[in-house]
Amino acid sequence: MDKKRILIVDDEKEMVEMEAMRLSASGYEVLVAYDGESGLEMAQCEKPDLILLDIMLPKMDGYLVCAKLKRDSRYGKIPIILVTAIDQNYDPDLGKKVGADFYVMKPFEPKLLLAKIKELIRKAPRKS
Amino acid sequence: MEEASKKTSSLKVLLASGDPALVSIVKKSLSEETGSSFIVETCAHLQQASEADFAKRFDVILWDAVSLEKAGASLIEWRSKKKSEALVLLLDVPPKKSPDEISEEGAEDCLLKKDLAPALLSRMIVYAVERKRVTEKFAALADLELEFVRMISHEIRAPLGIVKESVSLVHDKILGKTNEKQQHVLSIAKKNINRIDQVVMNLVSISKIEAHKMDLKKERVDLVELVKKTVLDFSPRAAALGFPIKLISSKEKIEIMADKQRLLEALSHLVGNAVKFTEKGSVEIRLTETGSKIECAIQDTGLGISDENKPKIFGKFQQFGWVPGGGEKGMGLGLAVSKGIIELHGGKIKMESHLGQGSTFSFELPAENYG
Repeated sequence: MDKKRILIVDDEKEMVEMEAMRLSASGYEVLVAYDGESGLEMAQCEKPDLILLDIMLPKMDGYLVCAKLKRDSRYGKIPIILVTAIDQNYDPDLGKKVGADFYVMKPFEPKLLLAKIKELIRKAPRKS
Repeated sequence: MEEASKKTSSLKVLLASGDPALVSIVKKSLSEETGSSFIVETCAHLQQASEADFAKRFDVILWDAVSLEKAGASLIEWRSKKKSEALVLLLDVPPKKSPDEISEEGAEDCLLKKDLAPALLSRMIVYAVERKRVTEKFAALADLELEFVRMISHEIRAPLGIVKESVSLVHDKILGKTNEKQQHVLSIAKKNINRIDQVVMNLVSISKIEAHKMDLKKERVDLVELVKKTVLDFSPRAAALGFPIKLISSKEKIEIMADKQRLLEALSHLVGNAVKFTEKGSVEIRLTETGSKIECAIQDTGLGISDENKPKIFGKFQQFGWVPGGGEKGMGLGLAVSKGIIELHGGKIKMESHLGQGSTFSFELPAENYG
């Protein structure tokens, strides 16, 4: 069976490295992008099975990336988890408005996040 | 405007009243005063004082408000505009609130019209202007503190997240096998990373509360579920100490409009404290819903609090007593944060305690939060 693919979009490279190690060890193939514009492009090219999307990103913030993907029927079914820091005042109404499937706050519990990733991928419609 | 506010300079007063008799009395009273100098203008309604051509021309507004109750909605609107002028209410009826409560509502002071006398009115105006200036200075300091804490918080939490994940990767054997000692040491590291994180979160929370910048994101939540989650979080620690955490609820579900994360934060501090300071016995949480309010009481059989320390219990950086079995003391912010969160939800929090026997921390939330 093909590995499920997760795209991490975050400008903290060391954090991305740690997350990638954990996801790889859990059997996922990991794609990375370090800013919003690259993240959007990569999501559109690669159509991953799930996106871990930081909100505070250079070039284009996570809310906008999420909104653009969810508005497009070609990518709208990809589950997106928004990642925020506690001091950023995450707005759950805005998160819902842009279509995010879930959000987590850094630093998060890795096992809980893995469980959520598994659940969202399982529930997502199959790709054609 | 700053120079105009000094005692020796003229203070610019706007009297908002449609009563010619009151206008005459106030103008006469202030013109008779020799200690301070006043320039008085008038308008018919408080709303006019908010308008652009009146803005920032005055040091103080005297508002013929009749009563504090009638002033209600207009005061709220005035407060929301964050005006720089001091506000003094002129009332027919004595207020039922304390000076601090009146200040919270947006007015610096109030005076009964029947007590209007030149010296008293003059003194009140000068003090109201000074009080307003001091309040604004404190607000600016609180904003500055919040920005500072936010900056520090981000600089600490970003690398902390990386450290946490790095340690977790080794602890969870993702990078290879570890022996029992290594597991134990890594568990200690993880626990203390969480401890640092909690300290930073508490600092951010208290700074936000003090700067009036904690915005609640309210949604329909089940308070019983939130308490159950908190009980689950602390049950392992309580079990290790040998006592249970019991939850007794008058209903299976108690719905409320609240900020789920903030309420969980408050519950975590309250239940966490109860567990932390209890050596034996139990921690019991009672939830009751009456028609008009919802009450949550967390009772422990722990150390209790002395009469000397009771008045300080909800203050910042207050630490009393030792933790049974040793361990983290914390920064003494948890109860201050809980109080702030409960009060932001329109509720009240209180404590009863007997030294050596235990404490009950309880809060109530108005049922009007629902719907």
